[in-house]
Formats: sequence, C-alpha cells, structure tokens
Amino acid sequence: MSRPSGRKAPPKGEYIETDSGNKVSRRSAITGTANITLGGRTVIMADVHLRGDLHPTRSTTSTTTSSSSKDVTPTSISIGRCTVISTGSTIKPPSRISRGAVHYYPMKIGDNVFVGPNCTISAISISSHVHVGANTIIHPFAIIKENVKILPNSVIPANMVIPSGSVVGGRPARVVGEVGEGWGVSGGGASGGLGVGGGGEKAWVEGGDLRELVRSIK
Amino acid sequence: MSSQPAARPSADRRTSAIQKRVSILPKPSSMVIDPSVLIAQHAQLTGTHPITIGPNAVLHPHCKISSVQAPVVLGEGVVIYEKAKVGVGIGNADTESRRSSVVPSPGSRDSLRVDGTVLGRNVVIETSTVVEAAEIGEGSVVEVNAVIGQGCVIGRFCTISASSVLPPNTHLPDFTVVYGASERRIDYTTQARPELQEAKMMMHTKQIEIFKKLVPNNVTKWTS
Repeated sequence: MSRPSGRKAPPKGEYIETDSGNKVSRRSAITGTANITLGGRTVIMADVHLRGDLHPTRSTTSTTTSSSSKDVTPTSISIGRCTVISTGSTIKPPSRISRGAVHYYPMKIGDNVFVGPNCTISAISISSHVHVGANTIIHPFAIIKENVKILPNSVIPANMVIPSGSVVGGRPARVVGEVGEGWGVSGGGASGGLGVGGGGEKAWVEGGDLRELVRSIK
Repeated sequence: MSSQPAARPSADRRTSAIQKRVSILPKPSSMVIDPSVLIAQHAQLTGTHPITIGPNAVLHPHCKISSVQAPVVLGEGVVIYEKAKVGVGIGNADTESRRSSVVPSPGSRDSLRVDGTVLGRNVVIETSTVVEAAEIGEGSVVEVNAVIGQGCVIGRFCTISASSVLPPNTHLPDFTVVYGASERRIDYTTQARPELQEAKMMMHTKQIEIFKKLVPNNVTKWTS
C-alpha cells in the first residue's frame, strides 16, 4: 500500500493463479490460509482481507469419530467457483457466545457470487448467484439465499434471512423488490435465454455465470 | 502494568524508553505497550507523538494507529479491527504537510487528554473505520465503516452504527446510539441496568480471550 510509488511493474502480473484456476492478487491480505477453501476459478482482488485465522474452535468437542482432531484443520471461509471478491473488501467469519465462550463459525459463499468493492461481509452463508453491490456491509449471521441482488451501500442487519430472488437495499436493508424472471441469464448463456435486455453485449450479467468475467481478469 | 514477569530483556528496554521520555521532544514516538497487548502482524503504529496501549488491547492485522499530529492512548481491552484507522489527522491523505503547523506539546501528561485521541476501556473499533475523536468512553462500539471526526467526545456505552459519519467536534452523552441517517437515541435499557453493562464487558473479555487463542501475536516487534 504505502510502498514507494508504482511498485516496479510486478514481475509476473498481479495475480497468482492456482492449479484449480483461482486467481489471488499478490496485494491481497489473507490470514490463516490453511482455513480457507477456494472452489476454483475464484478471483480475490487486491487489498481484500480474508480472516481465515478466526476459525471455529469447537471441533474438538464434536463426535469421537475424529480422534485425530489435532491435524484436522477447521475451515473458516469456504468460497465456491467463479466467485469474484473485488478490491478493498473484508471477509470475516461471524462469532457469538455459545456455552460461555466466544466461538467463530464457518462461513460459506457459493458459486458465481460477485462481491463489489469495499464490502465488509460477516454473513454465515451466501448462496450462489448473488450480486453484492459496492460498500455493502453484511452483519454477522445473515443468510442470503440464491439469486439475490444487494444494492450498493446497503447495510444488512445481523441475523437477517434474505429469501431467494429478492432485491434488497437501504440502511438497514429491506427487501425492495424481486429480481424477476430471466435475471442472471446472459445472452449467450443458457439456451432458453428469454431475451434479457441490457445483457446482450456484456459477456456476463449480474447473478449470471461469472466465468467470462473471471477469464477476463488478468 | 510492569508487574508482569520482567525476566525477559524488558528491563533494558524500559530504561531506554525512559531516556527517550527525558529527552522527549518530537523525535521518535515513545511507545508504552503493556506486555499483555496483542498486536497482530501487519498492524501499523506510526507517528511522532507517544502511543500508549493498555493491558489486553488487541490490534488486528492491517489496522493503523497514527500519532503524527497528536498522541494516542488506547485503554485497557480496546479492540481495533483490520483496516481501521485511529489517530488525529489520519483521515486526510496530506497529514505530512500539515504537521508543521501543529505545535507539538512538550510531553506534559494532562495534554494527552486535550489534543490526543483517547479510547477508554473496552472500546471496539470495527473494520474500515476512521477514528479521529478526542475521546471515546468506556464500552463504546464504533461499527464498520463509520467515520468519527476530529475533536469528537463520545460518552460511555455509545454505539456508532455502521457507515455513520460524525462531524468534527460532536459531543455525545453516555449511552447514545447513532444510527441510520445520523439519527440518535439513548439506550435507556443499558443505562438503567448496570448488570447489562457488566454482561457486555464480560462478553468483551471473552472475545479478547478467543483473539489471544487465534491471532498470532507480534508484539515483540514493537516492544523491542
């Protein structure tokens, strides 16, 4: 960040690409990498903070089947395929008091989720095909179902459950509408394209397959 | 503070700190950091004025504390999350150029209260906030993305909800909740029931406990 100007043209480009096609920016800030799962073809942009070190500590008390509880690394953040986390966002698992101690809970983000710039996310689960606008704050333990569009600058209160197909926005966020039929269907995507307006020229649309977008990020 | 096991080389560290304070003036920032503080890797403490951090405070990775223009005092059990910025003048980019116009106060103790940033006991500063306040009282919470202007004085057990902006020199009485489009109300429940306040503090100490378990401590970088 405060590195002396123009960081000397990074030798191998901005992103480190893993075997499964994940692209992780060299300038992202990730702690606790062992506790983070990326599904493949997922993009983590610059200045994104993933707090994998805040992982669940409960696993030892669960069933006796896993006697080797020591070497099992608990997952704290799992992100699906073709998900894009834009610059400046922070993803931090939620925590709460349970049985007299604070515990962190594993959070899950589905496939084809787009997270806009400068978001702070502590949801317990975000399903697939969700579009999160810029500067959105998602408080702990919110649950977001499939095909949801979150408008920019929203604040999703803690424990809110957003039903699938809704559009939410505001401070605090409320359901303000439905995404309607054909949302997320890009022009060349699924065969029964329904002729969505506006999505024609772009290779990807909100809530649609982000594969093209991921491919275009170098 | 210093009653902790002093077997480590902290003894000579301490003498060096005292020397600094005797010869005070604006040179390097003198830092008084309690041995029980948790400072994660990549936390940033910069500036020319003294920084004081009380016992059991937790600084998460990539938080920034700046004493470029005025001293910073973090009380016992303060938690500062990632990307938060604390310190007078840290909100504007051109802090360096403005520094010359600010007269550095020559180390008198009570001046810390006047023109520095003082966070009380168990204050929580959430992700991506900018805090330039003069004082924040015990048990207050500043939520994600909030901005608190210079010279603000915030009472005890206040909540500044997410994305709120407090203009400079705002004074908030105890138990105020700032929400929505800078609307305010008083949290009478917490005010009337001291046991609730205690419960909040207990939750906070548990939170700190788990941080000490999970977040690797890099405090030696700053104490040596």
